[in-house]
Order: sequence, then structure tokens, then C-alpha cells
Amino acid sequence: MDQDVQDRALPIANVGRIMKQILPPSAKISKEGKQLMQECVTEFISFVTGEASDKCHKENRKTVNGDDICWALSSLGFDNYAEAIGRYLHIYRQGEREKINHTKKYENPQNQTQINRAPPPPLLLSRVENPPPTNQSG
Amino acid sequence: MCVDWDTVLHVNQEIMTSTHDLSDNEADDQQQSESQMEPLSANGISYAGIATQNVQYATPSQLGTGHAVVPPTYPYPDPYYRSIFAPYDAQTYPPQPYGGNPMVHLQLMGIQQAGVPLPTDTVEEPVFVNAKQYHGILRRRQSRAKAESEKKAARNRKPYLHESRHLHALRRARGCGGRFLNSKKDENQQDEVASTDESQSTINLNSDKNELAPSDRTS
Repeated sequence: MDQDVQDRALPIANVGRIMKQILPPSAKISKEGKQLMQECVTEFISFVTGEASDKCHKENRKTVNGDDICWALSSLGFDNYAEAIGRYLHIYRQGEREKINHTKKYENPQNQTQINRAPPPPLLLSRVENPPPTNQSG
Repeated sequence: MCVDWDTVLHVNQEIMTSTHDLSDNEADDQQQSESQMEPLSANGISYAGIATQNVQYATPSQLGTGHAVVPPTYPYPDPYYRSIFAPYDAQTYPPQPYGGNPMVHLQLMGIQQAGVPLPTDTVEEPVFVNAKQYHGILRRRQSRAKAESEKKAARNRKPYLHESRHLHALRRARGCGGRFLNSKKDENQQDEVASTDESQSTINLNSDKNELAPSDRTS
């Protein structure tokens, strides 16, 4: 059973690392807590993805995109998350657009590697900013 | 496992209601849930005694979205779900003058009641969940049941993935306990016959590590 669960679940080390980001440095998380969060997160992903996939199936589309995920969150009642993830999607698409423009301007591979390093930091910062509001609401 | 997820989602519903409403509304919700439980004790199906209050959980635009999104028919061919849905519609929701979709009525009434009774495998106590998540939960239950059945079918696991690697492992020399032999261990045995020093213990540790590593790679 454990192997089957782990095959379908997120890596537990990554789950633990994400949980640590929101806690003070001195805090510790038990293995039981990580495992339970792992199951919760996996089920939540399947729950939201199932809703988005259902919509795509009705509209005869094969690809589930970011807008479908935002719609699914809103449809399931997670309006706060839908708003936050909508803003994230906007920032992400801006970064992708700038990336494409830079690639078109400079075709040298060295410049491409430099450009690839730039976009990730702002996305990570926006990701870190999201968790505090949920803490306040809780 | 399904029951656990229902509990988690129920807790989620409580968190969401507390987020959106004031403490007074929380008390109203508790009263609503209590009043809803009483008719259930009399009849497991009818909900005539439900008192609907004008508690707004969604903005008018969201209600409009609900209208547009709700599918015309139930996508569940399972007779179990049909038997549950049919009396629910027939008894509790009279036909509306504007000829709306029965699903729309169900969703709207569910939103006002702050929860829709969700059928569980053990029909003892129904769990009330967010109306928006009702169909998602049912869909997830079917997916989990399907995955469970597939898991049972595929329990007989393949002994190996690659034929060539399997044959190679068969050809390798094995020691007393079935572990693979390697060149370092053979040299170590010759050295042990020659002399016994502390450096030999170090070589033993290395040989043990090397002996364990191939088995890990094989598995």
C-alpha cells in the first residue's frame, strides 16, 4: 500500500520543504505531519484537476491550461485561491512573453542561458507572498 | 478512506463559512444544521422541515455563473445515485414558473442552506458539504474506486523490467548468502589468508559497502 500511495503522491521531501518555508526556522515537522499533508495535497490536486478536466471534456478540448485551473478553483468555491492564482498566472505569462521576445532578439546560446536564469526569482517571490493571507484568514 | 476525505472536506467547509461570515452567522449555521438533522431522524429522505434563511454566501455574479455552468443532466449512470437523487428532486423542490434546471434549484438551495447532504457508503449520518463541491466529490469517489479496482488487478508485480539485465544477474557469481561476489572481495579473502591486521577491517568495511551497492542497483 505504501508503495502504491507513493507512486501516485508528490515527493514527501518537497512537501516538507514547502511546509518549512512558512514556519519559523526553529520549528520542526514530524514525519506523520508530512505524510498526512502529502495525502491532503495529492487529493486536492486530483480534486481540482478533475473539475478542470471535466470542463475541458465538455468543451471538446484536450489540453487543460491555466485558465481552466483558475475556473475550477472558482467553481469549487475556492474563490480566494482563484484570485491569487489568477494574478500568478498573469505574472507568469508576462515572464514567458518577455522570455520569447529576448530569445527572438538574441539568438546566441550564451544569451539564452543568461535570460533563462532571470525569470524564476520574481515568480518564487510571488509564490511566497501567497501563503500569509491564508494564515490570516485561518 | 472516503469517510476521512468527507471529514476533511467538512472541516474545509467550516473554515470557509467562518472565513466568509460573522460569529452571529456561525450560530445561525449551527441552528440550521441542528434543524436539518431532526427531519433526518424521522425520514432518511425527506427534508420538508428545512428552514431556509437568506444567508448570502455568493455574489449575484457567482450565482449567475452557477446558472451557466450547471449541466442539464446527471452524468452518473449508477442506479445508486439515481435512487438517491430522484426522491430528493421530487419531494423537496416544486417546479418553478420560469422552468429552470432542477440542478440549478439544487445548487441555489444548497448554497442557501450552507450545505448539501452528501450520500455516504454508511448511510447512518450524512455529511454536509459545500454545494459547489458536491459533484466534484462524487467524481473523485468514482475515480478512487476505479483506481482501487485497477490496483487490485495489477497487484501481481513483474519480477524484472529488462530481460537482458535479468540474464546478466543470473550469470553473476553468488556467495554463501546469495549475495553477488565481486573482485575486491576475492582479493580481500586472499589477503586475509596472508595476514590479519587492523587495515584488514577497513578493507572489510569497504568490501561490505561494495557488496551492498550491487544489490541496491539490481533492485
